[in-house]
Amino acid sequence: MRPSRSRHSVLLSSFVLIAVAATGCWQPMTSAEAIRLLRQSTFGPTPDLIAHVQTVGAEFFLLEQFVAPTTAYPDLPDWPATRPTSCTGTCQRDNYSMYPLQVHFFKNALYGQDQLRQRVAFALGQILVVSGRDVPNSSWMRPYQQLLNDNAFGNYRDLLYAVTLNPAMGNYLDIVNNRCQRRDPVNLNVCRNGQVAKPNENFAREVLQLFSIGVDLLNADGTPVLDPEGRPIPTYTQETVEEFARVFTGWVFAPVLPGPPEVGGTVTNYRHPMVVHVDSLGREDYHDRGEKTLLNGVQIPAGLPAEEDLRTAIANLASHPNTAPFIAKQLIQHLVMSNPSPGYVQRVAEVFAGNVDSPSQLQFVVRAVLIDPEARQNLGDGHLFEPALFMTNFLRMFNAASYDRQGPSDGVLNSVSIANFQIGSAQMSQDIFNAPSVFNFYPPDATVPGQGDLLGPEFRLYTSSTALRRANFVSRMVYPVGTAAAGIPAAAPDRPVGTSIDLSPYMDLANDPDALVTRLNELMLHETMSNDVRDIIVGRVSAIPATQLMQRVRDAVYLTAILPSYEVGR
Amino acid sequence: MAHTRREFLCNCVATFGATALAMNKFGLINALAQTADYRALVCIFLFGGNDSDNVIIPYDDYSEYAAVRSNPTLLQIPQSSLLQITANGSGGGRTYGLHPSLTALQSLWQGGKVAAVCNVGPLSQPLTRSDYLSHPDLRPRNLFSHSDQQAQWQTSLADQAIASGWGGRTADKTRLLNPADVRFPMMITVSGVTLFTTGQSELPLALSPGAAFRLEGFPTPPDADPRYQAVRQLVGADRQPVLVRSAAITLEQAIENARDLTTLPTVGPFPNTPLGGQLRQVAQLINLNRQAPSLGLNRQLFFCSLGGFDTHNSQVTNGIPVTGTHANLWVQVSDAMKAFYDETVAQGVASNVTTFTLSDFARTFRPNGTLGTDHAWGSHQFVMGGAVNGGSFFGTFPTLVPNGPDDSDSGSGARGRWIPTTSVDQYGATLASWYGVSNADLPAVFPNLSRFGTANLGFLS
Repeated sequence: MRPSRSRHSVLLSSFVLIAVAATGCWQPMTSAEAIRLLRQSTFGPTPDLIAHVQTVGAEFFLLEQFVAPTTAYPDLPDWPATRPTSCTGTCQRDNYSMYPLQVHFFKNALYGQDQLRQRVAFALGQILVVSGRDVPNSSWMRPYQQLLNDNAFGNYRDLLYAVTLNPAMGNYLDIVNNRCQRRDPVNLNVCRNGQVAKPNENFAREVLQLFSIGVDLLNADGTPVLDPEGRPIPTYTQETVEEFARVFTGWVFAPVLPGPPEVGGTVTNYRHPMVVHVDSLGREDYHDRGEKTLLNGVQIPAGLPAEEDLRTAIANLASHPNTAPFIAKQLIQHLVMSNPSPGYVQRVAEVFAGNVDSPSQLQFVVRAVLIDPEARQNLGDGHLFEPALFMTNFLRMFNAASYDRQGPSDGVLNSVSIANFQIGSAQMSQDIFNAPSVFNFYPPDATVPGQGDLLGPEFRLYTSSTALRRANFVSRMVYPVGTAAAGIPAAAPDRPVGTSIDLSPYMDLANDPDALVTRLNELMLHETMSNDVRDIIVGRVSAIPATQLMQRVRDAVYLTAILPSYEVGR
Repeated sequence: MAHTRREFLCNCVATFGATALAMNKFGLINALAQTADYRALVCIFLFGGNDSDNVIIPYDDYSEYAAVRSNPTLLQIPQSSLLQITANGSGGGRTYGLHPSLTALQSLWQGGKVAAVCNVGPLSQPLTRSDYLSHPDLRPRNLFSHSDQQAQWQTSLADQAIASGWGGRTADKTRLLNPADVRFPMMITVSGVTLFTTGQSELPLALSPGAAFRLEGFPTPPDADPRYQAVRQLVGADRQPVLVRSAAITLEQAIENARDLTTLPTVGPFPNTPLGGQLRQVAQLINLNRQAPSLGLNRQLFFCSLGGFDTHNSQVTNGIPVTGTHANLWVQVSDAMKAFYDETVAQGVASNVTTFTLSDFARTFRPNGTLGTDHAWGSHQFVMGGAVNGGSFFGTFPTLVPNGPDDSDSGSGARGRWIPTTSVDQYGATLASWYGVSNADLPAVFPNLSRFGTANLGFLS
């Protein structure tokens, strides 16, 4: 399957290159332009990638990315829900924590070729949240993350349908085993819910609030529709939640899978989508078959199968006029800027709404996000990089490798504690795949403290402690500590080879502090460094004797990388 | 009467003169200053929406509770398992039962150090059941949504979104109670950046529990290091555009305050849990404030939190309702709160520190079919400390009847989502008044307060 896709990709990309060249859309980019695009569309620019994008231009680079083969998460063995007492140490780490997925995430962020797909999947995973806090087995989370990767450039309705039936989501937001409690003996379409218990409202509420339409009725540009008294208008009521909760009844885990050889037996099926529960007569006994009222007056008549109800409901959500601006704005916030103009949101939302039936809807949407004039031309406010992006941008720029530089980094960057250095992304408050709740690490409408209504979701993670830890991460990567070389040393078994960077390419420039800082300003800040900042860094570097060239490079890199303007992608 | 630290030092030196100077123990002087005028508020936010109907349960009128939470849904805490308490105040001296996880809080209740505020929640104005049903426009915005109700608890405003919290605005209005020469912030959150601790002018220090808090790679003290000097210059110079400035302000404050926080004092035993760790850190910071010559604040406001209360499923162990997710959470809360109270006693500040809980909402009194509960509204909250009029209920305990007088749901499928009879504004204003917000400033901190009957619920003295 993959080889044919790959061949197809090559053919497509050759065709596109010719097409792009023939239509005259190809435009070379300055390094600053290329670096900005790469800070928005990848886990960080590398010197090689900057040169490549400058050569091929933005459009062609995006096309390359859209057809790049997907890097798959490693297949993981299925282990039972309860950890066998024999499974400790690395067994526990690999099967009962997010560790193997976090390691893969960072390796792929550092080295993967499908940068844009992974970046979009990372964004989607922060909109359609499943957290390892409640779904703690790596083999349960793996299919969910893979689903996001596979559909990152696909159709949003199809993705939402697949997300709904994914067993990890089923577990996380309680779709699984959500059921009609008791049937009316006369009319089997009627559930006697409410006498003893009611359907679980968890997924129904969050799919409305977070995964599709949001709480306020929106204009096509993402601004709220206001009533005559200037108040926002709710998109749904408690009754809507209860109606959708009845739609999401009837689903159970697919048939059990064999357990791992070490344990035997059977385990819950997190590999395959959930299935409809049927009784011994083949009737969908867990599904509430009553009629239901969805959004915008759409009715589901009584007596339909669970799957048909679900398709109708997901289509009802995905085609609601709110969904386009609601999802478009969040993708812009994750990739480009926290405070897009209404016009920018509307342009992307129109692409979303105009392609609701396209199998490449999200590809068109992502392209619209990145090609938009507001992303390309305006040097706006941007957004604070979340910890993972901050780390990978820095590591990619300086050629991350293992601690001994004999191979690639081990990707063990989520949790890193070395003496006083608490410098993993989890220590910076972003524990990958372990968001605190379905509201992610930060809600999209979180404001910057002390800045009024200015949005800055990632600032929720920017505390006094994490601000210092970001600087300490840079310090550990740049400076030797005692007799230890700079970087994150290997520490068996959880950190097999560690991570380091290479500053030697900048030694040649260190004789000329001005040229050194000019180069770092270009590569790290795409030439946005202020004169005041530049003078301070050049002053510090110039004060180091020319006999200590490496010290000059280290100080220049450290002082540039701890700048707030390096932490804000713009 | 509030004194600044400087004024007090002057008085102190004048009174005790040579003795105080000879001792040269500024820490002691600060401790004396604080006994005179030190107050701290400690917020514990229970994120996810705590099922308070299973935390405080009528013991005398148990049948009403049992009728809805009984088998076969298995959420019912057996009457024999309840920890009995006498509820004075609005509880009328009747017997209620605490969830069996709350043994530590039961002992504090019996000692008069804990009170409960009943059926409190976000309201834009007092709301009867008929008002609720007939006037949807009077309901809080996006009722039953986590993010909105969390925000409304933190801002006190149920009818609008606002970018500051009532903790932050309390700090705005009381900052002059702290010595002007101390740069250390009044507010500290040990649980991330929150709306609650965001003021219109005041911003908190945001710490993470446990690890050392400093810029690594510099000598101690770092001031003479030229690279350290460059760092301090850079965070002052790198200020455009506005998101960069915002990050720079946080980083600058962290670098400056780190100089006061390199070592934290040892405090008494705390449970090794997330909330225990946060409250230990709060206790260390209270202690540090008493000891460190550079501090000596008269007012401190802290924010802690614990997540996991969104118990839609498996709230209890199937068949063993006194154990499970909710029970474990409350062992953690109760034990950590007791440890913290005991530590304030050891530090001699038990009557100067008031701890209180917030939570998104309570949960549906009628459970769902997956051993859990869904989002509801009015909830019970605890207040703890030596200044608390403990052992009592404040506010009105709801009638635990779905489709009854307190239910926002109606009809045969009603689930019991209590309409609050006390507002967040009143709850917050009682705490803020004790802390030092003047009556004249209360409307600025709680803009809707005047819509409600009483501005002070009386649970603090």
